[in-house]
Amino acid sequence: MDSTVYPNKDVIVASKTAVNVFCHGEAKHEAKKKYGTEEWCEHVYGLTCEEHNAIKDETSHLFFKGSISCPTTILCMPDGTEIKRKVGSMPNKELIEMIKEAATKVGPGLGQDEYLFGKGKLKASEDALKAGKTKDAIDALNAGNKTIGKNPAAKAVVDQIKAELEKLNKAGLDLIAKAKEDVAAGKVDEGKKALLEVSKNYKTLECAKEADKEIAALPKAK
Amino acid sequence: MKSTLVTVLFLAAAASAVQAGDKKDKPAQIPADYMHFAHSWEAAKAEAKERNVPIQISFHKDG
Repeated sequence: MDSTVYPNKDVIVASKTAVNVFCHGEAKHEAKKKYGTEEWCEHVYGLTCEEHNAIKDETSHLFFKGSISCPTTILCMPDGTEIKRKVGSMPNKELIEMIKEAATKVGPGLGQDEYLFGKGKLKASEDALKAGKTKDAIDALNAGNKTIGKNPAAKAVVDQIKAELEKLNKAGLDLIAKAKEDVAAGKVDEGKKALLEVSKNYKTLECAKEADKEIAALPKAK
Repeated sequence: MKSTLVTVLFLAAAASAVQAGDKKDKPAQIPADYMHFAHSWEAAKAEAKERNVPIQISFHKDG
């Protein structure tokens, strides 16, 4: 089933409306198949044999008492509660129908591509912050928000993006507060430099506008 | 003639760069030709909850 049904384009499209879990307790097959530059199990893109063995050990007791009938396909609610199962192989159409039926029952959900896109932007932002590139971090989050922000099904991911933007806005406001203290203490150049940094690196956030106001209010050089 | 060629090459490179930029900020077909699988049961439940979608779990053996 894994070698005939899963590579089918219509099955792949349907699979993007669910989270897919592949359990396989054996490793007599080719453990290292080339997928471009990556090497994974011959049966599944993106998983090693160690991973699909571990997932089988982790889940089989949740769905079977005693021996496991293979192949078995089970559709579950997001919390793992079983909705429907089919023992034995099945044609593409039947699997697509099973997934569609379950997606409608759980529905409306976020597609896999949009989800991975949003999560990718969160990761890109995290990486940029680690590298000290605040502007790139904000750009990544804004790109994620712009693309999936209006999709109600993306709320959980969009909320994470907004929370990160709010954290960055708070960091920008903290820098402004420090800059104002410097200005008040007579260190105008130092304060101005910090405000200009906020204005440039935190662009599109409220704190950048605040920094611009503070820059305009700085004492003029004689 | 030479300057026309340089201009054409420049415009082609610019158009290609714009296209690359456009592609970068759109959800990609990941992966294009294979089904995507979760790396653990807990990760599957967490993703399904965030996306509000069902989990499709399948059990297999060799042969």
